[in-house]
Amino acid sequence: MQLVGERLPSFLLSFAISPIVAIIYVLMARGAGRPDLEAFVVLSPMAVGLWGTATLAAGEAISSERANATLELLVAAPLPPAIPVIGRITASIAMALISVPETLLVARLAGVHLTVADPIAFAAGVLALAFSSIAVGLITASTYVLANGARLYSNLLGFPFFILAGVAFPITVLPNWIQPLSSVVSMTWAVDLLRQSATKVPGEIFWRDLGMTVVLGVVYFAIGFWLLRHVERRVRFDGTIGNA
Amino acid sequence: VIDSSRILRRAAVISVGDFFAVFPLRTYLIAWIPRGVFQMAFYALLAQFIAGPEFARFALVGTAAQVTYQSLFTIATSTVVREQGSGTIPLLVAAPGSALVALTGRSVATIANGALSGLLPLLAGAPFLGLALTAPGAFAVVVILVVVALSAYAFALVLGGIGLRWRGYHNVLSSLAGTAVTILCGAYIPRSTLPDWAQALGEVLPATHGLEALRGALAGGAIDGVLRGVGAELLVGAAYLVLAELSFRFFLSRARSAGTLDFH
Repeated sequence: MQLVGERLPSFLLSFAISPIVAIIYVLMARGAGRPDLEAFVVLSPMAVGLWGTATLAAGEAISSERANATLELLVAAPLPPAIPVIGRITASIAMALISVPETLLVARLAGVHLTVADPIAFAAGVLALAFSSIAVGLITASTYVLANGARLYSNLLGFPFFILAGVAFPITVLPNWIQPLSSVVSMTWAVDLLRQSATKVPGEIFWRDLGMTVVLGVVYFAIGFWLLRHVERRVRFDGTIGNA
Repeated sequence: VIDSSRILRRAAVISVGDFFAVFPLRTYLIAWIPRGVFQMAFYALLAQFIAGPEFARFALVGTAAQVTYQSLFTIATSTVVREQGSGTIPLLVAAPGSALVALTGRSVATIANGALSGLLPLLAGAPFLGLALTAPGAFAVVVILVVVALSAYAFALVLGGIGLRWRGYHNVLSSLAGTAVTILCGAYIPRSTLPDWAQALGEVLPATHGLEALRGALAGGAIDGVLRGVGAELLVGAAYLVLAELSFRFFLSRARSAGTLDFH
């Protein structure tokens, strides 16, 4: 409750934005006379919201530590700094998960024919996406430790990832030379699993999509830990922890 | 009038320094501008997937306006609220000039940034999406985006006035306002497909008339129709400016009498 109280504005954003953007996408399809695509696009803002929440929370975690002059203490503590950062991102992601039932509700209220015939696959897709989003947040956090202005650079990276992941359209609409890059974005596989759950997901697709999302999440975590350790050493060496 | 013009001019100079302190030129060119281009690519691909190239061009033009007004909502709203955080509200009250003139001057760079942030994705996407841009058309786009930026700024001042009363919620306000305007102004959803009440609400929001003028100018529409859209957009902006002035006066007078200017 304390967490919710302190972070009420961010919580409200997580609570409100994804369903409204979902409505925008649905109305785009409906207005263009393509109601058959409403179910395809309606889940996109929820996935984008989880990913965005992780990077936002990572930025807020480091910025607030820096503003409170506690970033030095975080680095000086015996525990790897990644651990508390992961904790804070996880808390924000947990709150942002409210967008999942909200999106399903909004889809129903808006008359979108969205069916979740395989709830286990759907839930697995959401959790795997949340897991890999936390890892992306950890990578983002390391850039924030390096420089406070990194916020703008991390904002830059959102849309390219959403495009690569085909979060709102099939990746086949992308140029052929770009499509192989989509396979190294965990969101690609998680979103595919969410969409596949409209029908009973065949075992090989379930394990492929879930496996790729989790494995890529683990790879992102490894990169995040390595980057944060590397950046931590650098700012300690430069003496720029608090004012980078 | 002379004092106001002097305040506006000097505040405008400060605004450029302020802006590049937050967005250093290199960061601005590498991170900020490409973000708008990627957003345009995302929505153009989404629209292309939904309904083909015509709808992709519709989304391209919509993105130009969306990036313009959203950047104003986000940055200008927080600029107003930041005055409270940095303790300069009492100075604005004590000064003989209008607080609104000072605030507007401090946001000149933000207004210019809004128009530029919308223009560049449009220029980047036009050749790929088959949107022909003539020299007069490009000039009209620049003028109209500046007008959209001005009316969005006036709306952001109103949001900032609310943000002064609800501290900590200005980002929520600007984001929610941005998404609401996106639904209602016709950036990505053709307004004719919205219910009548939503269309009527859109008429009094920033960007709606500017977008109509923008689409008209790019389609080679009649000049009087374009000018009518620009005029209506300016009128909407002027109405929000008056509302913002009243809101600030009310807020400042209440906070002054309560002795809470610093922490209202």
